[in-house]
Amino acid sequence: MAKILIVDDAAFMRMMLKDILSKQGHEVIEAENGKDAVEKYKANTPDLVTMDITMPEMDGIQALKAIKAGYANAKVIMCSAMGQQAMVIEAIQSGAKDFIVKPFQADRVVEAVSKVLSA
Amino acid sequence: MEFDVNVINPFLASAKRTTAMVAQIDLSIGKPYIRELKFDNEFVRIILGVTGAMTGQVIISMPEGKARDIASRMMMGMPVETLDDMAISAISELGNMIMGTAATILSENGVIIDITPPVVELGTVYMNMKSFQNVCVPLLLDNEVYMELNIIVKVKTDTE
Ligand SMILES: [Mg+2]
Repeated sequence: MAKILIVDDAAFMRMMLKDILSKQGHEVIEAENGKDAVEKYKANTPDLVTMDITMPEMDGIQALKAIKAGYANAKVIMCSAMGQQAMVIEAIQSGAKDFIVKPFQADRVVEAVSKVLSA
Repeated sequence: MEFDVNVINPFLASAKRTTAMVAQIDLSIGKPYIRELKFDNEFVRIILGVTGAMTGQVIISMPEGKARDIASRMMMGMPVETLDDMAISAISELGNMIMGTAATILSENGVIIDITPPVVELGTVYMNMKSFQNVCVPLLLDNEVYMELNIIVKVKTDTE
């Protein structure tokens, strides 16, 4: 089972994702903005990150870039309400492995996580 | 009353789609009207900023009981008797998802906007935004107002 860092400014969304992922047997760590995410990534080196985009302090795209700059092999799945094509392309070009648009079904998250973890 | 349906419709479509998905409710769209930016304390407001090709704010206002109802539905029926931190977080995220989906719909027509993180506000307030017009659209469930979308945006022209 994997160690997963959930990044979202909404405690509600972290709770939903934590529920889905812990039911799959994963260990979960939480961060509430991009800055917090970069620090928690360094401290915990998780196997996978789910990354929101619209957040205070530092947004998810910046956090993704900061994490990838220090850890080229970091596995990050974006999980955002902003589904514009340009946003998706920027995230993937910046090294995200997948892009889940909120609102999502639990199955979509489970599938994306297991696919990225096994790659 | 004058407003551009191309500006208003993506927000309505998004609110309908998002609430159906996260709360399994089918809201119907009421008649738009120009509304003063005055809210009393029976309404919870989720305030979201809009930047980019449109500027301004969208304020989602909900009667307190309806805000508790949707928070409960979003948390798989968990009872919500008071708007505690988790319930407020749920409705904030509802606002974020409505705006994100609207941004996605707008982008399909070449209109690129960004949104700010939501802020939830309670209590009485009067907002002075004289240069902006508020187009308010009620969304109804069983003929009762479930939420209102206050769309207070300006479309940027090429010369700006
Ligand atoms: Mg967010």
